[in-house]
Amino acid sequence: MIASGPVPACVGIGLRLAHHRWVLEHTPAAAWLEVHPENYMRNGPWEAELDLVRRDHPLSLHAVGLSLGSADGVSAEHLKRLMGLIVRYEPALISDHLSWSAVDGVHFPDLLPLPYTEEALRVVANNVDSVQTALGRQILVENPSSYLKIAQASLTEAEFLAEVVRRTACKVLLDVNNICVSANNRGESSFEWLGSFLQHLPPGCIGEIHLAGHATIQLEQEMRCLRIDDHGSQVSAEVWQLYAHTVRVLGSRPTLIEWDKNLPAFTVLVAEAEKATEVCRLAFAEESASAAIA
Amino acid sequence: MPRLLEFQRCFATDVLFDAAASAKYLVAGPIPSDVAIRVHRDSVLAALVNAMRLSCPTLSAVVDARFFEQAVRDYARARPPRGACLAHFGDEFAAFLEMYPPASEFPFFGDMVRFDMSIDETNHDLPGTYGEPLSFGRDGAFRMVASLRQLTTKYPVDVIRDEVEAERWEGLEGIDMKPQLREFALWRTESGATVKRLSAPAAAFLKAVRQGADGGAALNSALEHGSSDEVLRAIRSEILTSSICVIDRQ
Repeated sequence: MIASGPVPACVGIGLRLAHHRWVLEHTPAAAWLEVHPENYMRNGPWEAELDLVRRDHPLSLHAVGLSLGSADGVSAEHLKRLMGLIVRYEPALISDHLSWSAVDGVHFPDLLPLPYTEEALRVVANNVDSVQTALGRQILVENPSSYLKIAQASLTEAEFLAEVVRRTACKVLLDVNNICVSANNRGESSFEWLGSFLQHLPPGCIGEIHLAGHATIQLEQEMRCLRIDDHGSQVSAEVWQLYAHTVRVLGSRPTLIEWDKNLPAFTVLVAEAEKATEVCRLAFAEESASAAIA
Repeated sequence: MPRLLEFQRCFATDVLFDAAASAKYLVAGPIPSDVAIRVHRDSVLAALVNAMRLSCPTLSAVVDARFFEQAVRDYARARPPRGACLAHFGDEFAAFLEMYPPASEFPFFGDMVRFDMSIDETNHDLPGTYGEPLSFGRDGAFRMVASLRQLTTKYPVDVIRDEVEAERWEGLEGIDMKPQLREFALWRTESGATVKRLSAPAAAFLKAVRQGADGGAALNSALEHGSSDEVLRAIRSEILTSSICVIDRQ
């Protein structure tokens, strides 16, 4: 018996291996949980523990290894393993990133940047289409964090992602923290970046939102900061503002608190989730008040 | 050649080998390209080092952190990950270390990694499952635990691991590192990986069984390592009466 139904349009928590036992012992009131499927591909104790967790919580599988932007295509072996987990855990959502991590059979445990070109668009659309056909269902594609500018790019990230959606009918996982990181690393306004996404993407295609913390590092001999998407701290004030704006425009969406580095107690993640719920409530209240005044 | 593939090959080279092959594809932005690529390089390396630290806790504890990171970096360059799941990334790390010049004064590093990784792999198995029944004399039959592994080491890396786990750092200096073959059985129980040092007859018997021999043939393999009394005693005490197997009485 497992918790069935869709992921609710409220705040969930990214479940990491170190929190399995705590979650099993305390059954926290997290609305839903999200895991990286690549951590559950050995059919051992971790997978058995996730079976137990799954009884009480709707689940999302957030992949990091499909490499949707690989010119080589998607690994059939990895896809097969993912399909095995989908059968086992019946996740409500499945997602991966607008990035690549494999070339010539070598895999990198990172989300590497794509040039937003017509050629890359064909590759990503083809790969997303292959994955959706193999899985027999929609996936969500997440906007990545970026650190550099690629010369060949002919589309903005928002335009590129919108076109992937148009060609494949996939959905979008909007990572608000990644928007903040990418915009700042390019010396641009994060609100303008967010505006570009909200302008180009059909509202109905955004099926999930991610929130996380990032690191800010002062570059030596440079008068600027580097933002690193390390998921190692609380959500920043700027990201909370971006999130409030997003939900004012889109309405409620399943939202996830991610935390990977310097992992705190699960209760800290619960507190972040509660804060996200409160930010949502205030955003809707402000929206209602504005409408009433108008 | 499609330009995307060319770009990805260049970028992969930059991430793995500290090169600047993708520079021609990048334009100056607020963050210098070399700094941006370093973010990805550091992220990849951190993930690989973390995976190896979890798999090889003893080596990680006894060497300098910089040595460990450099060894993993050099290993990744020689044997880059071949799958998105890093479970098998370290499969050749032990053999790599045995040929790694900076570790030439420490020939036991390979065994240390093999021992750690066998325990790690065993920890990822499920307890409580057993193989097919195997007839054995008049006692009936027995079934081996499905997670059973065997390992032979040349150095007393089990003793090193025990000292490290107990944080008895001063005990490390007193360990006799003279090479001498040591046989182990590892299997998963409810509480985690169980490691048992085996005598030569018990190890030979177990190895033969795992290779598909019947009870009689396995016994003959064991008899090459001792008298029949010694062999039967070893099999009974080290295998048949341990949780390595369950006896099915007929």
